[in-house]
Amino acid sequence: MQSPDRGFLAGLVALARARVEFILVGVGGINFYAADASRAVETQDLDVLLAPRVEVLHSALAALAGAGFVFQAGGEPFLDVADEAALGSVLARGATIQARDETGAQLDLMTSGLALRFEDLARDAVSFRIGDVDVRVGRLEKLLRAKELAGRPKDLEFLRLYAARLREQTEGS
Amino acid sequence: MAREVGADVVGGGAGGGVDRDRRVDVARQGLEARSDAREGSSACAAVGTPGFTRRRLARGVARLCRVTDELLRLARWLEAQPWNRPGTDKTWVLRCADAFREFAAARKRARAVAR
Repeated sequence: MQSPDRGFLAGLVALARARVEFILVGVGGINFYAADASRAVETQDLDVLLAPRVEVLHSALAALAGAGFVFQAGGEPFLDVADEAALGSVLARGATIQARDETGAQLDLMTSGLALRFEDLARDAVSFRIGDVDVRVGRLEKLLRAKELAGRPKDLEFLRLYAARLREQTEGS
Repeated sequence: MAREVGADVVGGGAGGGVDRDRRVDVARQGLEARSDAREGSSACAAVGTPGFTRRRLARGVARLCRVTDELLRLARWLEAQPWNRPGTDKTWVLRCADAFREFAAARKRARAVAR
């Protein structure tokens, strides 16, 4: 059985306890609105949009390192977790850092994204509980819009699938 | 009016006057949407595929894909459900995601062994 101090759960709890400013986006965020596990969509990673500031990125990396995560950026190990210049460069490029733990759980720490401006999402993000901490999730409509804007075949397929599932759900209710 | 998600709105071929105008219109909408996105506007509607370049637009291979009115209505219905009230405990979502991931990894390992 999954240990409660590993994986996605451990990563998000670590971020929330460190008071990192973040919003969950992507399929992982969309799953927060599901009625139950049968309505959730399988995903291999969680997209975490960080407030685009060096201190936030630094806090996020420190919190996740403490929870056993290691980092990659652009396919290379990212070791400069306390180097402000390196973190500033990540922000300037709007790059994503992948945080991965020994179980294979991956959090994508995003500093930007199409239709994913932190300020816009933060304005009306929904706050949910995870145990004893709060996490914020982007409004469903905005997360779907971001998928649309990404425009990759898998995103479009996701939208079709998701619409079909919701239609089925409303017809059954 | 909402268009079908992922619907191809332009085709190839010789491209008559109407089609060409439509392609130009689609291209303009796409570029405007991307410009809006950079500005962080929530008004983004028309989008293109990755590598959505001017050249691809000129060739008429851009796709116009939208979150339909129906999907928006369904999304708002879902958000309004009791289990999505702010403050609801969603620990199960992450446990579920972890279980999915572990199952996928185990399946992959089993397939590798079977080979």
